Amino acid sequence: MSDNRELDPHTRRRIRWTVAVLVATALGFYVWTIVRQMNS
Amino acid sequence: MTATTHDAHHEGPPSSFLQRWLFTTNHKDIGTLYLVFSLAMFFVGGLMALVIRAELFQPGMQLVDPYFFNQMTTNHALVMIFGAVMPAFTGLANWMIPIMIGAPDMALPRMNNWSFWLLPFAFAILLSTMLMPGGALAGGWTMYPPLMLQHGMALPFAIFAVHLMGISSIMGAINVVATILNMRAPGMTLMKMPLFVWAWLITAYLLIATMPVLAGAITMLLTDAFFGTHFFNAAGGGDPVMYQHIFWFFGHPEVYIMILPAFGIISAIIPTFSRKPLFGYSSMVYATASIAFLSFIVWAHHMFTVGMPLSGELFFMYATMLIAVPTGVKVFNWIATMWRGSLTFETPMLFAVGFVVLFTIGGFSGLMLAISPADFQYHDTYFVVAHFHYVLVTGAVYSIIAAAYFWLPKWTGHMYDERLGKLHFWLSTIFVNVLFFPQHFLGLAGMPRRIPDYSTQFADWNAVSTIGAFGFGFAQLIFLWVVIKCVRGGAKASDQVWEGAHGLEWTLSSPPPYHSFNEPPAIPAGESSPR
Repeated sequence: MSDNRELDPHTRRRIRWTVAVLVATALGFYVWTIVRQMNS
Repeated sequence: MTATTHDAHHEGPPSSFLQRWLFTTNHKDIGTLYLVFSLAMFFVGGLMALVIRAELFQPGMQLVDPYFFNQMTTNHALVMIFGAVMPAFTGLANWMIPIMIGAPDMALPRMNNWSFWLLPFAFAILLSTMLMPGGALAGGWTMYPPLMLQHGMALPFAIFAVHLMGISSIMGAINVVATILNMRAPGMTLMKMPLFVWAWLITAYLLIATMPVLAGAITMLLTDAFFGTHFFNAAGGGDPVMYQHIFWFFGHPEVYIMILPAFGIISAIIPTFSRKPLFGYSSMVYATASIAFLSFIVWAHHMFTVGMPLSGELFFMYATMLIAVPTGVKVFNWIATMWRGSLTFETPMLFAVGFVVLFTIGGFSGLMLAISPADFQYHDTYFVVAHFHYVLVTGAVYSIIAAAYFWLPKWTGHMYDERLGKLHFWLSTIFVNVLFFPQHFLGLAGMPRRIPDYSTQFADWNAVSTIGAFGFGFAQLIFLWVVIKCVRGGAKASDQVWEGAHGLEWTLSSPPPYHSFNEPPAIPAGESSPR
């Protein structure tokens, strides 16, 4: 949302969860790519 | 979702130039920034391509030394992929997704600003390596070790730049997913979304899954070069071929990251100028998802010649060929959409039809390359160069140009110059084939890629290809002029712009208000997909 507008709390919560899951996925792929090579 | 509103919502853009463009959180402004940046990078990468083609005009060394030539091939690819094509699609996503799904903006507007503004810094760093002692990266955009580890100062800077580009892409992709999943107008179910939105949703997942893998690969490259690790150093127990596996696990989905949004664009344009709904909407969605899934299990077709078990060769060969099925579904659906339609051929439609024909040529040469035993002959030749330029230039770039002509009247409120647009199409299409089609012959005759000099037997087709390159390059100046002319003025565009256009974006004024859909639009329950 542009700065001067607000979303309802339910949508904000859903957006936060979506972002949390996607950031965790991205970080997971990054760490997994490197750690997997360390173990091989 | 409910949108709360108050009077401030109807404000226009900030009057200060810096406030508007540096600190903007408005999806339309950020979309414009992405598109302008991508156009600039398109010309930077294009100039590098012209240096390459000018040197290859004749056999022998003419203009540049071999090391500089290699810097050009490497950086042409990096600039075009990460600087031109990907930001162009992100710009289109920023501009169009919110107004296609009835959302007031992207879900994370401040992060959106940051996603964009990382890019100019990333490319300033990347391009500055050309001025460093030892020059820019010259070992190919794939950055294979051990060659890449022999680079001097440029390596850490280029790796940092690619990390920044990756972070920018991942943040952009997270924003797209968060917007599409949470900000659709009531009644805009997933299966009512325009295919451009669907294509971008799937592309965003590909980005989130694969860009971190590239980041991991180049992080390991960095630690191998400067921190004494041996991930890819055979002498230390590492494996350079492992880098290729990791790189192409990113690299092949990356190809689809650059073509799935193109499919979405073509699926918007063809129904509009055929004046018919898209044929097989749901099959298009499933085909897009199938292509995305398959893109994760075909990576080793880029490295058939490294030596792998026969079972591996067979698996990757057949899995690659399988991609032709959902891609064929899409091509046939576009043709079926045009079948018995009331066709007109304005510039966006010309580029869309050009896309269908020429991208399919790239698809067929891709099938040839997928045949493992034949690939041993084609590998690292100009046949590969011809193949991926048909996919990326007459595929991805054509779709971006088609999208620009299609939506420019909506963005600017002015019609572009149709006569110049058609001239741009015909000159581009003639010269792009003069440029890339002979490269098939060169590759089949055995000319290797990424070389500044060649045997005299390849001279004629190289001269033809270079003439095509300069013709295609100059034709793009027409596009630049059309865009500038359209932004500055022209005939007033109506809200719907095109007679056959359907969808929420066409219900807004041309240009749309600075803040749109503050109140969610009503989408009738029974209405079919807005195409």
